[in-house]
Amino acid sequence: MTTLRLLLCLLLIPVIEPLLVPAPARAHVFYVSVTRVKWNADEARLDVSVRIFTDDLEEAIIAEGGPRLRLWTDQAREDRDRHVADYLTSRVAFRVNGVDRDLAWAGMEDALDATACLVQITDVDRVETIEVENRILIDLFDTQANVMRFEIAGEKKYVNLGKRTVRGTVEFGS
Amino acid sequence: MSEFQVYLQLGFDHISDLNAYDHIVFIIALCAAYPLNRWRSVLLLVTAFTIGHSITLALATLRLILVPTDLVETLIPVTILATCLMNVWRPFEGKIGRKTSYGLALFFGLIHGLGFSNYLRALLGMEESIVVPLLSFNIGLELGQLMIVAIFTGAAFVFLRLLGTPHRQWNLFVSGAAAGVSAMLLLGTS
Repeated sequence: MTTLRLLLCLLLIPVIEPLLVPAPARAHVFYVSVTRVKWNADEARLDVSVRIFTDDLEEAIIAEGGPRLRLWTDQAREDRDRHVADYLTSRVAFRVNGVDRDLAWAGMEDALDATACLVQITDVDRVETIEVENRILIDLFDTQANVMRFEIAGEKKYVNLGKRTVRGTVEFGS
Repeated sequence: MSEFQVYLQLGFDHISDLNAYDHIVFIIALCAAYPLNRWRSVLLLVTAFTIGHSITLALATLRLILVPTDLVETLIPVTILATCLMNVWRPFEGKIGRKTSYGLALFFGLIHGLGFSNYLRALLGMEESIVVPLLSFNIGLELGQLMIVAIFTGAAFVFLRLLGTPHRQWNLFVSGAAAGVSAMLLLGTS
């Protein structure tokens, strides 16, 4: 009897499934971006990759008056890189060894539900301190967490930024 | 801040985030069917759920399995609804029934783990070790889960012991509320 009831219960799942609205249009509720900063000593360059959930990124660009980019679809806009680069450079700022530095856009990649945005800071032949400011998505989501991971000559450091703390400083080689 | 602390915090925040209430509602539904004196059963159920979601969180984050986010997001409310219906309907009784409940909690845990992993996997790069983020995120989830169980048990204590509400009524009240939430999630109106 119990086996029969168990079978009935398990049958319930495929029976309910097709009745549902296909894929409820529910945005994910995990508001996190992860930024990786790695020093390439040979090229004297900081390689920065910023992973942002693609739907959040699109929403943020629209909120700033930009177009819907439809990233990673057949209808993706031609000028998508410029819009993403503009958003990113308006939200993230770096000060390396006490000097404000510009971010050079290096492209983006599809990373499942996220988009990995790649930027570079050139002419960095040593890294003592990095001061960062990260305002990614904080005006859209109260619980947005912006994790930053630094790897400089094998030394790894993390800072966890968000709405309450938008700036952080990391020191290396001390 | 260490890598461990960062991902521990993310895991804890994710499960206890009121915006991500689907996991919270599931845990509450899981606990609702048990009176206070059966706390051992609740502990076993939550452990079974934990084992379930740890397995799929690890498998999916290590990219050994891939399940579309949309399907997972649909199945999670199905697990809540199924748990609520079983709280009311009680198809399983006795010793075999208990074992079945643990088995189902484990099975439902597998589905919730896929939900956790889709987010974690999108954010972690391929280039570095993901063992520490995976482990610490999972421990963060567990701590959050224990906090939810503790708060819910506190509420159950107030009703069952202090106000003398019969357990059956309490179970129906909580399960009904949780079933309503899961129905809204399923219809995509939340």
